[in-house]
Amino acid sequence: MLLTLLNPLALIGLLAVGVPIIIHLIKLRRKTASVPSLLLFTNFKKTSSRRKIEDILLLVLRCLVVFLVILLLIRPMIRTKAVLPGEFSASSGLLVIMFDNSIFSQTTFEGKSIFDTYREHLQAELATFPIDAKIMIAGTVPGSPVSHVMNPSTAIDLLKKMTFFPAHPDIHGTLSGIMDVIQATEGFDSFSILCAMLPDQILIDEARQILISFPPNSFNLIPSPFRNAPDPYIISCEWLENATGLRVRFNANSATSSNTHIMLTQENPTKQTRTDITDENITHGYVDIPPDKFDPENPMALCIHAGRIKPSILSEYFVNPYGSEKSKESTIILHDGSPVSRNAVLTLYAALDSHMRPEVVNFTNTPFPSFAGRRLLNLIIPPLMHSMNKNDVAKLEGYISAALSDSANIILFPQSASDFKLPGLDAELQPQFSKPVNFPVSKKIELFNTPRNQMEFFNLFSKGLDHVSLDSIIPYAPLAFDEVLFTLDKTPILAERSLPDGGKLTLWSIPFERPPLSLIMNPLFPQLMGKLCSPEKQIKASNYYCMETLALAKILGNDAIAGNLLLYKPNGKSEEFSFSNTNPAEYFLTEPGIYNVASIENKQKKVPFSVNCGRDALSLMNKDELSAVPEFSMYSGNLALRAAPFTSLGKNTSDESSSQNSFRDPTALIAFFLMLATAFEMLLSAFVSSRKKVII
Amino acid sequence: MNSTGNKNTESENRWSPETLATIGRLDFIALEVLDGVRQGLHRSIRRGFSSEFFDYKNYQDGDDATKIDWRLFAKTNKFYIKRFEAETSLECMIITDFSESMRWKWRDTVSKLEYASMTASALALLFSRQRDLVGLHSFGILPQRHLNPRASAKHSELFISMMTPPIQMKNSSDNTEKLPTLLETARGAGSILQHRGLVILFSDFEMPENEIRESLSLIRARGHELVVFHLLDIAEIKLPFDDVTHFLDSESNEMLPVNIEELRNSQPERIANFRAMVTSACSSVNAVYVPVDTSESPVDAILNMNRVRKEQF
Repeated sequence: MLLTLLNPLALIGLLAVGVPIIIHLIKLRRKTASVPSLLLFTNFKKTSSRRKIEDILLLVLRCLVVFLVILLLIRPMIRTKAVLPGEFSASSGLLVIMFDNSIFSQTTFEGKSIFDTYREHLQAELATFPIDAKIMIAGTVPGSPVSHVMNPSTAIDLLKKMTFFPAHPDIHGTLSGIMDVIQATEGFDSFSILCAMLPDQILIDEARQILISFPPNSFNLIPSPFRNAPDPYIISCEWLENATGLRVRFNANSATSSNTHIMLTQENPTKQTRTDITDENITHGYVDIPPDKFDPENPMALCIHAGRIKPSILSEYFVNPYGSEKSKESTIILHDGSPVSRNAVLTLYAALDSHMRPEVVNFTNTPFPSFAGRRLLNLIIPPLMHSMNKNDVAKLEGYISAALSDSANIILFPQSASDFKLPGLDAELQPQFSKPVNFPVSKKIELFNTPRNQMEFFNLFSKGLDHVSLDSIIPYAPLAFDEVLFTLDKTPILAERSLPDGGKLTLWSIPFERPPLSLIMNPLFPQLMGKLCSPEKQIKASNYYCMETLALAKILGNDAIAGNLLLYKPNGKSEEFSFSNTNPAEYFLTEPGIYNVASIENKQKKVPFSVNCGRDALSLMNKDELSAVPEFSMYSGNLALRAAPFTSLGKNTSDESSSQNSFRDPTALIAFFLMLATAFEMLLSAFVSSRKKVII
Repeated sequence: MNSTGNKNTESENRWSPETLATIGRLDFIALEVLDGVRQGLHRSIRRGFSSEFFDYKNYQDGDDATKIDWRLFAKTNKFYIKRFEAETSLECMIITDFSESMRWKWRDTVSKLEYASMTASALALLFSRQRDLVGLHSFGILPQRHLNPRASAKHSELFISMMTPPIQMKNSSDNTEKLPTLLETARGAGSILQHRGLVILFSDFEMPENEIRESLSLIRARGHELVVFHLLDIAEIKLPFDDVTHFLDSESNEMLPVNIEELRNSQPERIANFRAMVTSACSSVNAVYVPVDTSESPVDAILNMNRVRKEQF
């Protein structure tokens, strides 16, 4: 058993225990009384010089009383074995809703503020809670009080009354306040903090630092459970030193991928006007605005916009200066099938869709997305360059040769230039990294092989323009865009790994439809989850934490060459499975951790990848493990696949049964002993006093 | 409170030492005590105290045989004849201990000396009214106070004024001169009271036992009748000291470490032994012993003296 002190500063009060001792010593000083004559006491001999037992007992009792009072102020908590947060009953658990009511909650999405949207979602969730559920609500604005514990019905009413404040949120202060209230509130073995705010508003690591005084498994930090969020959105606004400018930070998700243009504007609601603050594309997760560029009196009107360049802008690239609008001219855009390249190309494809009508040559076995059913001109998009069979490669060679003989343009979007070779092109003509290859005729092969130069590609579209205004870009619709990445069965492709002996591992994550909060809080939830899944897909109790984007990864090995693979799981066991192009192997990965794949023939050469069913795993990522997984895409936009071992989520040891703790509050016991000691002291004090007094 | 410790009636509280002390003037206090004694005796003032307060004379040849006190003969097997006030003027010498131990008092109570002053002054008034001669002699103080026995109103006034405890008493430690002791007084008893008479001694006898015995013996050897008022302060008996660790002798400034609880428990026995010692000393010389503590009324002390004296003889 360990002892934790909730108020260690009160330890200084232990000095007060010395007060009764000092008083006792003062009383022991010599006190002389004059008597008529000592002759009356000549036969008296003091038999004992030791203190009376009553005095000593009184001293002990008084010291004990002072000590117990100080102990009550110190608030010790005894750590004993406890339960997992998911296994507590509704009567012992507590849900604290940290609801963002700061200025940033006014970010609008689909015509509504996040504040209103999230409040509606919260109220709907709370309505499904059992009547005896215990809820607390805390606003994120500095000075917002943490509510008392209430039932769901009262919490819904409180949410109705809450308003936002035009102030910056103070997440740190709010979490500290929540921690203080929970420590002062008795009767809860565990609690969950639900962060009802835009996802990047809270840094999970920082939040955990504040909650570190609680045992790791006594609380559950739930990031924003609601999908509604604009992309991008402003996270914070802070003045730079010496007021040299305002730094506006926004979330750096897929909005900052290579195919998106970011702009910042300021609206003037009274004048009904909009001022463009940034006139160039933002490439970082923040933008510094000079003071003279915006109106500091109108902070709420800052808006961040993301979108893709309009086709009319893109089309200029293809019309001028590289070719004319003759139908014979074509542009070949090739990519190697990697997510990055695919994103870039498909953005371009979608942008050109309504304007250029390129011809699509499809080298895959799967149909192209439905909206691409229209006939496009001269746009060759092989989704998986390396998955092409020999016939497809020959067909592509023909197209490239034809393009090279004409005044066509070839734009390449490879993941990496090193392993990308244009089929049918001589070695010396193969494109080098960011180095255009000039042909005798006015052909141009341009290589855009990194997100950065892909962004430059799009920046070229704005070449010649003074600035890119909101009118020049299409509003960003990430979900619609991401659909393009999905295959027909809607499973998103997230990462690919080359196999040592050829072939590729393609990893999908299956977004787990997060169950409602009321179900998560139910103590039967883990058992229920177990029953819903088949044994091979059994979700372990430890995976219970992965409630946000629980992902079951699938390995699809598809290659022109059939082969057998060995899969090494995080628990050290290995499993063999065979695959081929026509018979891909599917394997559900239910354990988070680092996996390795190797071919049977060459077990030494392992290819690592990792799976984590974590919430906000980005900030929990183990950097060492990340570096062990090469070419890991940071732009996939899906948080499910991240490299992070399960232990980083806070489990202390591998032994689950020994690592859980909870607290026992001995306050009632201390108070009982204090009353007892005080009563004894008063009785004994009165007894001693009555004996001493002689009145004449 | 009387010596039994019971709360008395309101009339008797009138003569409590504290109440009497509030009167202030010793002459008025003496009158008040006298009034109490009269009421206690239930006798008229005319007959007075001296009707009971008689003198005995050894029967000698030629004395009136009718005056033989046969009751006393039955007790003592000796012939004594009564002598009444009318027959003789009693010479009384009141010897009072003015030492530091007598002057000690506890808080707002009455000291032994103040008590002795009240009682002695009342007795002096009483004798005076009976036209007995009363004198005063002190010991334990310098300058010594002495009044030869007289019987006049003016003499009574002088007596009372000399009995009044001075406000500032010289401590024996301030004075290098040796203070007169009881023994020295007893040795000079012949010069103090030239004729046989009555000696009334007021003292706390907080002195060595042999000094007590020798002094009493010397006084009785002169043929004087001796009445001993053994005074003790109620505080000496009850020891109402709280949280005291040491006692300081008021006369010698010696220090004694004490455990007040233990002391208090054994004090009744110590007092009893002390009184028994003085009683023994008085009995050995046939003196009348009247134990008094300062919680008792001086009226009761005088009445007790009268009672004991009658019983003894």
